[in-house]
Amino acid sequence: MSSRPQPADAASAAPPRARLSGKLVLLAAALTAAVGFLIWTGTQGAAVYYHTVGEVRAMGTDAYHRLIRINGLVVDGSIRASDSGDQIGFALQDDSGQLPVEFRGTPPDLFGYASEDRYQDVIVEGQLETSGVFRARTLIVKHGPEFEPREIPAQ
Amino acid sequence: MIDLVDVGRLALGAAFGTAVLQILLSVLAAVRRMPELAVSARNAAAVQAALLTVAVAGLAAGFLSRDFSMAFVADHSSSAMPVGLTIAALWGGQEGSLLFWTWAMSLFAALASRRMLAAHAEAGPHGLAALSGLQLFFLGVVVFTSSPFQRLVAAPVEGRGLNPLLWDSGMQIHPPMLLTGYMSFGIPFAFAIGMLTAGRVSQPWLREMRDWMLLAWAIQSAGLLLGAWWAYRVLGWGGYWGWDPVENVALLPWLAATAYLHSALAQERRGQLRAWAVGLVLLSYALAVFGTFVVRSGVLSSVHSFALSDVGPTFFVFVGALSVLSLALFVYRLPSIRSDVPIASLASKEAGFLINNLLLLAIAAATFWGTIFPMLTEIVQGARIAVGPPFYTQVNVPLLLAVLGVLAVWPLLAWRRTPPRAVWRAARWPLAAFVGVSALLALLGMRDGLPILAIGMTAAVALGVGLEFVRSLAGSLRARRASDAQPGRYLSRHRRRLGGYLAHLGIAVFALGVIGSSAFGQETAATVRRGEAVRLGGYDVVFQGLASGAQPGLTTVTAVVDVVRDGVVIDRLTPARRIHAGWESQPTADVAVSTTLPRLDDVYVLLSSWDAAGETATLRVLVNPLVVLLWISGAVYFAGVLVVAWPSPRRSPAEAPDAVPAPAPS
Repeated sequence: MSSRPQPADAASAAPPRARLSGKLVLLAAALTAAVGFLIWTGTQGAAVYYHTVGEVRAMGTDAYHRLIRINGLVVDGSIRASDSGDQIGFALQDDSGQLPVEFRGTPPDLFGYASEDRYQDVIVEGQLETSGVFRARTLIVKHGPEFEPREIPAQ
Repeated sequence: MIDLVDVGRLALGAAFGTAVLQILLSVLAAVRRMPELAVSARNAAAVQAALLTVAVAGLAAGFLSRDFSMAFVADHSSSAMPVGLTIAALWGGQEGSLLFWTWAMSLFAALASRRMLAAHAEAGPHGLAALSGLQLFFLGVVVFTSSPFQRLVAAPVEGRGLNPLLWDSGMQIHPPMLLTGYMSFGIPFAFAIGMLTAGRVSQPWLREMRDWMLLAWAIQSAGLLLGAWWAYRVLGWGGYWGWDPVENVALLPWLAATAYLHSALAQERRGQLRAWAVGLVLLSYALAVFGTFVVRSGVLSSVHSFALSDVGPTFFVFVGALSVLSLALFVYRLPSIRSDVPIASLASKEAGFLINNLLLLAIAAATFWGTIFPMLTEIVQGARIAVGPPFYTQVNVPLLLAVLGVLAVWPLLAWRRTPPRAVWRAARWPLAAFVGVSALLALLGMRDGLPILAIGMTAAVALGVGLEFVRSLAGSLRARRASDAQPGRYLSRHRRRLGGYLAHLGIAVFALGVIGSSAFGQETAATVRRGEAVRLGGYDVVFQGLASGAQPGLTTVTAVVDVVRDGVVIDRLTPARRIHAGWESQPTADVAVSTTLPRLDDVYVLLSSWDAAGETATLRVLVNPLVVLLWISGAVYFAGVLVVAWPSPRRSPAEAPDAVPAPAPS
């Protein structure tokens, strides 16, 4: 690191130089601490655990009002829009069961394209309400397996 | 008929043999100090490039002749695909993109090896040996684990075709740009390793290293920007950056390289931050290979699928070995490369570079952490988690604001130290622009603090850059008045600085585009009848009807919509859906975007669904303010890079010492 004081030609400028190097170290330390803090709180707040439908059910009342992600399939034919048009409901299914989901907002572009016998793989993120309905704040359509990194080159 | 599989295998095999020879020759040349062997190694690099060109041409010929007996061709193209896209399918899968990477690397290496030997007689062979090592690794992967030249026992009549999402003109330019970008960080890396193992360095060597990094960085910048453009225009989710791991890992080497290019200035002008700069070169390549590993290994979908992929473990070992070895070498040589000129004052250009470096590295660290944290959790706890955009926004937005702040003031300071009065003189105008613009926005009724702050910052940066241009022009006029100097000379002496400012201006324009679209974007979706409108953000998007077209293998349904503002039709758009045969569950969107003047809003329209009679359609409409500034900023930015990189006339020795310190002793 350049900020280290060097023994060469020390006589003239050593004291201010030492002070500055101290300042720079302090600056770097403060920055590291600030970024560390941001990363720590960010990880606490923004990392969301994946659960299966069965796990959510098993958690009982513990599951209410916690941010949860569930990966599952949209049950074919279960999608319905509310009368006002700004909310959709559907049933989400995985190996461990089914869960009613409601989502307010604009569903993503490819949502609803379950073709023939192929169900659609989605990720919902949100909270389980006491009514037993999962209120999703985000809804992500997962692409089919033919869509995995092998097909998408380094983007 | 020539068997293209044989041609490809033969060329790859010969290239591999040449690569082995090349590394032996260059290591021997470095250890035994036999320059003639280095020349042979350099020639081997040229031969290797020629052989790989043959291999790539063979694969391209396979695509063009629709030779579906080649597994890679059958898996990634079909006879329905147009020629341009068929060529692009070459990098549409893992084997082909690795071949492309290795080929591009060989072309760069053939050129770089010449420059290496010319730049330093002793370090040259060392650098060449490092370069040969990288080439040998990638060629080995292509030849032994991931060859695109596999024959199918029974050739299918028709190929599988390319994933419809890749059916786009962006496909022809974005992936090769990013592959080349990732790859090209290897060249400055080889320069750095060569200088560390040889323990010798010269000014030409450092300049070469910087120039190659500038090139790598420019290519990666273009790749990132094209990726944003592709996501925005093709993927149809209305955004251009989603903090997706694949995007993050492309950003990481770019951040490290940006930091390096700034500290390289301090090392060139003042002999400072020397070890630091070398460390950043090593870091950027380690991050580039890490990115390739993440994208290529399948580690993203699950840690467990990574072990199943054919190149994942190989790349993992390579990244690990590369990082450990270069770190060890760096620490070992640290005493000899450490700079002996300390930074004298915080109020100096070089301190600004250091602060900017620290901030960029902090952004890189946060982004790296967010990318690997889900992988770590899956390994340690077995639980799957997701780290989404909120994490990155929370951590990176304050850091990016700090970068803008540094950008507004420190470039205006002097080298070494700036007296307090001069600091005030330099900083007062950007400060005034910041306060003035922020206050104005607040008075105009903007209530959200963050965009006010951020727009104020960009104004400060832009004004600072503008002032520097005015000062430089004034300087050139003064030089004209002084009888003996030529005004052009003044500008050409400051060319790189002015180019740098232009790039900074590009960053400010870019930041404005990001702020506008992320803070003020709106989105809605509605099902409308013919003649009805979707209203959003002062625009009416009127549905006028549907049209459908069919061609072999492809059905297109197009909606015709008019964009209306204040009762006036300002544009007619045709968003569409393309349904490719064989990919029916994945209809791709043809996004239609209208950029309005003078407001610079993007009215972004997607056709979601429609009824069979063509009477109603569901439209998704987004109004994204200022996104167009992103693409404009790209032009400004690359104009700046071009000015910086423009070859300058050879300096005569008498002119050369602009405060250049002696090269690192060993």
